[in-house]
Amino acid sequence: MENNLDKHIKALTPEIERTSKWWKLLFLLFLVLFLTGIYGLILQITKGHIVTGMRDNVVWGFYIVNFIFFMGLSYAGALISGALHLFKAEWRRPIIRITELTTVISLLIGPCFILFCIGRLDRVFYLLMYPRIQSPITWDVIAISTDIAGCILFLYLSFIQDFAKLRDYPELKVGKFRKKLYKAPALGYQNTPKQKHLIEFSKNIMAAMIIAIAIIVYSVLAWIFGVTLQPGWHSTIFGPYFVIAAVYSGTGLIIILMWIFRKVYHLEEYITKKHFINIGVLLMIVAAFYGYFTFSDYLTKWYGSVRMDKILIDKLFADFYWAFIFSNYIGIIVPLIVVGFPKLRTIRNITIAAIIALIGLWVNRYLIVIPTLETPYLPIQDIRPDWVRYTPTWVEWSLTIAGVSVFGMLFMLASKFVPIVSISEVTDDEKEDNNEKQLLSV
Amino acid sequence: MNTSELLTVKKTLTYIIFSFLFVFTSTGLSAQDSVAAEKHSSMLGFSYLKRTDGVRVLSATASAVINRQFIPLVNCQVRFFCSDKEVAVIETDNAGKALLLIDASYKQQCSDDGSTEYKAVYEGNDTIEETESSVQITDISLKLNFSETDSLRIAGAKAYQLSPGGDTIPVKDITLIFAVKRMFSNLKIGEGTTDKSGFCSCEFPKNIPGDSIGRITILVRIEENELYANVEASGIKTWGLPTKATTSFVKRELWTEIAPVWMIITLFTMLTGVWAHYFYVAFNIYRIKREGKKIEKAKKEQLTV
Amino acid sequence: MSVNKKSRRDFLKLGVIAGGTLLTGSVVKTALSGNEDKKSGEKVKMLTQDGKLVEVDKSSILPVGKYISPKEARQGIPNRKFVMVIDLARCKNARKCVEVCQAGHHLPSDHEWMKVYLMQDSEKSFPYWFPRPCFHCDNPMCASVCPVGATYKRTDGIVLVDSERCIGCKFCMTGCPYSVRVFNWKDPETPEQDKIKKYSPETGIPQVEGTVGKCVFCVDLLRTGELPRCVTGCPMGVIFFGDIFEDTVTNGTETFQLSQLIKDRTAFRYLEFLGTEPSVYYLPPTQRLFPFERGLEDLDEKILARYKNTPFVLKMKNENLNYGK
Repeated sequence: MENNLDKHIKALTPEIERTSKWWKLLFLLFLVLFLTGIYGLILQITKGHIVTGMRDNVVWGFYIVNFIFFMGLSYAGALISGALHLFKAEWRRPIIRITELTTVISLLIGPCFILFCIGRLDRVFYLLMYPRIQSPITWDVIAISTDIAGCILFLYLSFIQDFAKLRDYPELKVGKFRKKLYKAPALGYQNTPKQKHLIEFSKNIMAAMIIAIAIIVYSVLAWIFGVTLQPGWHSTIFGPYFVIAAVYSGTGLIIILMWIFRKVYHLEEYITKKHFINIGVLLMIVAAFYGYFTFSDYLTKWYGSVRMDKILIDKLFADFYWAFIFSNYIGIIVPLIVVGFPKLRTIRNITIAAIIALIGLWVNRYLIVIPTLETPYLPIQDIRPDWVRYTPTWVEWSLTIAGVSVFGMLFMLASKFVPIVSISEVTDDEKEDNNEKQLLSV
Repeated sequence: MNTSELLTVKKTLTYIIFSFLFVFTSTGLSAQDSVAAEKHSSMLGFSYLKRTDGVRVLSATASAVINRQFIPLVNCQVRFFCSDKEVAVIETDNAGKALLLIDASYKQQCSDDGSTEYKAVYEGNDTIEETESSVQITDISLKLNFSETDSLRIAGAKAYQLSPGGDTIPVKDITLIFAVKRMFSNLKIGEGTTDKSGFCSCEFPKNIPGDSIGRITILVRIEENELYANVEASGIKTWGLPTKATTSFVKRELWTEIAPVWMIITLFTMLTGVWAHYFYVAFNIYRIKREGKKIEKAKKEQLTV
Repeated sequence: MSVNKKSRRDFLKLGVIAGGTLLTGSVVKTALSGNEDKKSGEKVKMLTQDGKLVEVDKSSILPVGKYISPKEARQGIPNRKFVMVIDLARCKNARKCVEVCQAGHHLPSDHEWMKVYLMQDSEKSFPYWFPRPCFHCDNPMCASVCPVGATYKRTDGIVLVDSERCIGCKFCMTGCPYSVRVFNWKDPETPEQDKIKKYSPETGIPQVEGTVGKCVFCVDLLRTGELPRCVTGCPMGVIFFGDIFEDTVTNGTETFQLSQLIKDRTAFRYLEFLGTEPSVYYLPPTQRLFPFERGLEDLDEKILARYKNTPFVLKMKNENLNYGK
């Protein structure tokens, strides 16, 4: 047993004792990108939002797109870890840590982008002092804070057993302070039946809650657009559409992360092709749903001859043609084909499909937010080009990249201190395997 | 930077020089043509209104004409004359307007035809020409009366002049305008010409909104008359429709400060439901810790034993 | 344009100063008994029976304006609900309403609270000039979505923005279907005289960086019984304004009974189907006072370029007609 544990820890947290050179380099790169973004942010705060590309018609640009995008990534983690947990799907065990980390980290990054979009950052606490319950933004504030609390709780619950294992592992060559760091959150967990039951029970509750909350959070986000009168946004399908799109983007991200950690940490034993195929099938199913919702939305807009819808669709096919093709055609068809045909179902192909899905989803968010704002009811009669069409500036690009960098940094930090595959889940698995073997041998 | 600094210096010097000149002018106000520069022309808009309480309102608006645009002259002196007798010097306000009220009982000199001349003079300065404006007013009075028969409402007015002996002399053939006083202007109801006995009437419609009990201020006016300028008489009657001037403001709407009750209840229910679960789970975590402590304590005791 | 403004300002100063020196430099001959000339404020001079000048309260003629704080601005003028009527048959794109509004609220030159559009509903229909202030809707989407209550509707129908509460989330800007609101993307370069004034949502002076601004129906003028600036500034008398409880609207010279005007001229509200219940009525551009093309003449190049995408202008260009003499 001890040998097994030793093997697991060494395999799953290779950075735990000492940091490798590439880790440091990559972290440094992310840090540099992050600091560039911070510089852009400081520029924005001092000079005003004029340094961004947003103007009086397109008042929401990259920041809102990123906000929705990152929030969407979090939801997939919630759904997959929560739903798979409730379904007791055995194959979930190695990947559950990755999904839960994705959830929490993207939940921490998403709201930051909303803060960048706010004109008076010094007054952001007014949202708590003078809240108006009728406003979808207030619903968003409440929902997101509830979601963050819930996801952190859920993540923590999954950490407890691993922290206990790390605490008990005598050969862990880390500093005394770090050892203490593992002791405290382990909560004196001794793997007694009672404690085990408490954890399982709490996890079940939280899994159910997480799914429900995530659906509500993402619907609230969708309703920020759906309840306005803008042509293109005032669509009844937006709630479910956003939820499905969120699951889609998150699933894509999880596949990518699975591939990265499998490659870098050599986790071929833990994360096998079977996992890729199972998640790939999930990707395919969600891709089908996503394609169906997208098609339904645009079909109703196009078929009905409502003038503003027509103007919007004309604009989409004129100014945003390639983005539209990429996001709504390639982004759906490629994953469907790759996973749908057994011959094409390799780990590499599925990952490529996941990358296309992820980028396609970001573009889809962009296509939801910006074209509508460029086609208001009262025509834009202006000669300044940046007031007629939205062009993101380097500040917005740098902050977007900074968001991705923070995601990378936080994930790297997490993977250094905590096993990237939940040891307790995997060893429980083995225990059950051993039990089975014993039963069979008798 | 140098040229603009130089300009400021030049300007300051100009101001000082001019002030110097004026201080040492003996008569002070007359000689204007000593300055060589061409002066801008000016305009004085002058109006006279006799109110219902007999007070006369003289209003003079001074403006300079620059590039065919009218620029109001602020804080400038306008002198008012009543029959060639100077009665006041009023300073114009931020809109270039100078107001003078004349009490009803103020005795004014009349010329032979019974009219009085009111004059307003703007003296000008070294850059603006002087200008003056005057009106020749014959005094006239208006009296309003109201009558109601069956469903017909009639507002009547009599125009008359007071002879020196105090007799009422009716004035005929004057156009009178009947109106209702509104917030920004007067809504015209009708107009008529006075007959031999100086009398004129107008039928009053029933669909004019009034205040909460239906009061409206009815006016009869002589407007822009050659002899009499503007004269107004007013009276308050409850001939308007009683209007509840409160907006049908429901206190709880989507756009009001306070949310509709069902929204608050829904939100509260959902929040308590979710956070109750959180607290339960947090409590469970605490129980884990407690159990862990118990076991540790037991272990320690075992060791000591 | 700026050179003229500068010279005009200098000029007025000259007039004022000259007037001032007149006062101090010479003996003022009056028939009165030594009343000091005070700056016109709340008092007006009255000539009494015996020829003496006394001061009476100005409020006997006009209500006096005072500073309304952001907290007080949430209460409306009691017993009033304001409505505007815009006569599209008279508008010839003089743009005086835009200029007067910008001047009156000391706005930066690229902020237009009142905008004049060249509207053409479809290629088959004929264009018309469309002045568009804030509609002060009775069902305002902007107020519904504001998360902090920075924009609100008062009992007198006016929707205001409190720049001291606004956090700049711009949700109200996406909420308004009429693109009425403008945002202060940078420091609005407040003139010095505004910096010492206390901010009031009723004037919108000074504008605050990172917050939203919009037409306020010139409430500060309404309180003193004056009409909004665009109403008095329009040379054609296009814009009418009044209190809906009084059923009367006026453009300063002509006064009409609102219900009669709506009936006679078939007034409509813009995009009625959206259900926002605007407080601005439009009179259709039938029997126009001027041909529509008048609005394209004598226009600044930059303003003219705004309309280049409208079907009418495109057609004109194609047919090589006289475009923008």
